[in-house]
Amino acid sequence: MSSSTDSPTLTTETTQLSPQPDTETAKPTKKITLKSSDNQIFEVEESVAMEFATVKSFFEDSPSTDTVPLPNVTAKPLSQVIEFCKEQIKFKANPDEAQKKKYNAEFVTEKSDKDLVDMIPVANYLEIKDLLDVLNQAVADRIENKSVEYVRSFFGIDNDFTAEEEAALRREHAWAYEGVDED
Amino acid sequence: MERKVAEEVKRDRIPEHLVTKILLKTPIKSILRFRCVSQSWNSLITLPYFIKEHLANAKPLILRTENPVVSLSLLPDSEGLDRSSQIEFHRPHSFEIVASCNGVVLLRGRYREFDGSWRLILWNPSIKKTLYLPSPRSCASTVTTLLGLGYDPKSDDYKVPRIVRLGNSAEHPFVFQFFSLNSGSWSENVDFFSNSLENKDALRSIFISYYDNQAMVNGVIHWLFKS
Repeated sequence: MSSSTDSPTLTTETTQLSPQPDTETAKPTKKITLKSSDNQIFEVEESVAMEFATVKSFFEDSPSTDTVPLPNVTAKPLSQVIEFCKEQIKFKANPDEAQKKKYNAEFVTEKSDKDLVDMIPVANYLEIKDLLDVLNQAVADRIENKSVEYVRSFFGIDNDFTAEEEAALRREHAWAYEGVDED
Repeated sequence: MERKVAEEVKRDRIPEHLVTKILLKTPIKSILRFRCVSQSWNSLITLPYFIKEHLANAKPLILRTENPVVSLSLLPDSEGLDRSSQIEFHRPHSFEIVASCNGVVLLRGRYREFDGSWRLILWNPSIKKTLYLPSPRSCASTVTTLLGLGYDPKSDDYKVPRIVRLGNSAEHPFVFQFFSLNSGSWSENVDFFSNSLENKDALRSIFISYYDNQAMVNGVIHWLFKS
């Protein structure tokens, strides 16, 4: 897609140069340190961390803490979740539904199946409802036209039906097996 | 290639309560197919809770008749018309749409095979299932019939109410009957009207005009009467 030409702001701004969208939001903000289960440290602005309901309540319970340990979260999905939340903060400051939709769509499109699947428990644990919705929809879209075998493999599920049981279920909704993508 | 990616995922399963949220966003056709994925997916997908939640998230449908074909179309904001949901059962030689509720449609069809008598059919186009209802009592002899379809949240049951006047004149009593999907049979209440209507005189002169005038307001069936 043409993401490099028409949306440079979305990709470059997020990563390094901490974005200071020129006007009203340009106040110096407090940083919060998050520590992943594999001991990586993430410094994020307070406003971003407060998007994580879990982190927010952690701070409300123990305000003096300087580092929040996230024992259930590894570095890679955490960094992706932070990237998402940074953008959402901008949309909160300057609401633009069309841009937000576009960003959310691009965010999931460029992720691998594994990235999506890894982020879902993280978004759930950190209680980031918007992201969880976006991820669930993205996974739903990816499996929609797939075969039963593909979906088992996608979620790491073993078939525990007998051949007869499975055949009976397939007969019951034979039309639902038509027009399915090749694996 | 894609399969490799999927297998790599295997190490990090998504917990079941999160799988539910994903499947709630997946279309019905896919979900029916995914009942085959595993026993636990099959039980999850057939849970009454799941079915209700999925229904609550469903897009509205428009039912159109192009006699002798009934077809189902998605609302214009979704992509195109879905002609694949045309009636796929033994087609009566004439039929009417009587009512619909939660995506379930009540049809009344006349079959040559049954001496041209009417059969009532419940049709769920989304899962392409049909159910022929048994004939209610005094099916043929009555002149006026009022029919509807409703969902009763108290008993989690779909019901087909039917009001018949057992004869031609205003002196003949009304009988209230209803078919329960859960029990698969009809029940009947002869005194229903005399017990539930305040103005019994008005009842005598009620004329039931037509059967397809049901309106659902807040889950309650309303009918239009002429008197």
